Amino acid sequence: MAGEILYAGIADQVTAEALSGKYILLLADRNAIPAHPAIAAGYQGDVAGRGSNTIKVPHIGLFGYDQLAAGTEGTATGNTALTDGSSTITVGQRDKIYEASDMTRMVDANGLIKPDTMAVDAVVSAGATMLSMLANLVDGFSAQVGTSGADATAANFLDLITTLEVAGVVGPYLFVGHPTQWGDIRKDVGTAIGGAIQWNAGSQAILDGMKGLGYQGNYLGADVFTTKHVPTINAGADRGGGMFGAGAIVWADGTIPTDADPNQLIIADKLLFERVRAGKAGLTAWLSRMMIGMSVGLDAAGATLQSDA
Amino acid sequence: METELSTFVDDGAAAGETFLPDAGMSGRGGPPPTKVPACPAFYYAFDPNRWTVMGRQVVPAFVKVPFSDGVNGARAIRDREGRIVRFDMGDARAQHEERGRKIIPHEAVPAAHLKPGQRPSYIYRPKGRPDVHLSLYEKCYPGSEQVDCDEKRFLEWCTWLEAKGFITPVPLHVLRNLLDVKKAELGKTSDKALTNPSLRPLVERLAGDVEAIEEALHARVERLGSAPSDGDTFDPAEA
Repeated sequence: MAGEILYAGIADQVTAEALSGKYILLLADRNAIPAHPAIAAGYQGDVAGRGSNTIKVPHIGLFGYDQLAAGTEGTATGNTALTDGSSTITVGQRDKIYEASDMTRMVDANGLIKPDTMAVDAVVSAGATMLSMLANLVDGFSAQVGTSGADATAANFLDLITTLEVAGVVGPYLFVGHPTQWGDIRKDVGTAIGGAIQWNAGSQAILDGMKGLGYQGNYLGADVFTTKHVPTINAGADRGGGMFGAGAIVWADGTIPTDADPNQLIIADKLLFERVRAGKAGLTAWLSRMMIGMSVGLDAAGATLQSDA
Repeated sequence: METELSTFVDDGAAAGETFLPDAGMSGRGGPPPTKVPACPAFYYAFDPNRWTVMGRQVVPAFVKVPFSDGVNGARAIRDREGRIVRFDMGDARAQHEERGRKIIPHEAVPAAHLKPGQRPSYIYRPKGRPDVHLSLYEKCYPGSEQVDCDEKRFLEWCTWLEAKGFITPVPLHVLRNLLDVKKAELGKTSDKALTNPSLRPLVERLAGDVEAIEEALHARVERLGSAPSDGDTFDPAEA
């Protein structure tokens, strides 16, 4: 027979590729900063209306910092010096803009290039940005545990806790580490023979827990959060995660003023989402902007874990 | 047989230049750029109390001070278009210096570690990735997320920094504390290795670290003697 209509012969009737109607997100760490007491305690407020984008956080040695000294009957008591210090937070601008042409928006078949998708992206990106800022601070505490070039172990995790306890840091503690570090600790826990680690219910829980980035649960009394934003240290040989308690991290933000502009939307009080139209060029941009600053407060309230990258 | 071609003659035609139009085809020659995640430029800050052992040498565990707006006092300066043109790191430097740290200037790199004509800086930016800032002693690879440490040259750099006075030698009390910690870790890990043979490489590494610290301690004590903090004797009866 001849004249069959075959797929190879109807090039004019078909397209080379068709969109699936679904999309896959590229791999990235999209987690937001955890709502943990160690971080919440460090919030210093909104810089809006304060006359400066820099906030000074006073540190004071009171409420039991100095003990009573031995006195002498009939003799005037000497003054006790007040110990104090401070740290500063500079609130900076963080923003991102996506700009699409009218043609792109017109042919968009997945429905992704549109305001509501961009608004969701703004919220997720803001959370991930704050997490990245936090991760870039935990590698810099003066107290450091672990061995350069060696995998992290459960013993290192205990050393972090001990370091903070010796320094008198108020709990609960939060460990923010790279997934490589947490994976090494988990592997050490999983292959532990004997001792309290092997028979600890928490050890079983972390081995059986759901995988992925973000909150991993509570282990040995400290909360664990993993993020890929934890940087390398020691010229790329190691990762620098950290464990800290209240006061280690201080942060502030700012409310961006809007002018009753229908193109501007403030999300969760702090995140500006704005539509910017350039009609002559046929371009529509969606801007996400927030004002945020984060610093190390009490350096001694945190400890860094160095372990093989 | 190749025909002899005539050469260009300037016969008074309008001046101009050759032009290559963009036909919409991307160049596929050359290796792909690295896939290392974006990371900001940074200063290294030297903390006199933060040391580690690498390659059998006691070296500073530098702190990274990122050029990231809002992080530890860093402040971005932007142009009218909102693009970042430079960073004001004054506050960031002050915060670290208040903690007793010293910022290592970017130019503090020995000439031997640079390619001819390369401007002196310990920040390295791979080609095709202006958003990635590594240290000169980190190696990344085309099409890969992997980053390796150029340990030999990094150790040379640390020695050079001390020789040039950018950093101070490791304090004795830090060495003693580091030795105590490493010996304790070695002991516990050796015990675990008896029933967990896979820990033997870690035991060897820790044993090497202990030897390196003992050598450094021995060398320092010989040079300086064992001097604790300055002070004087005190008679409580005089108080």
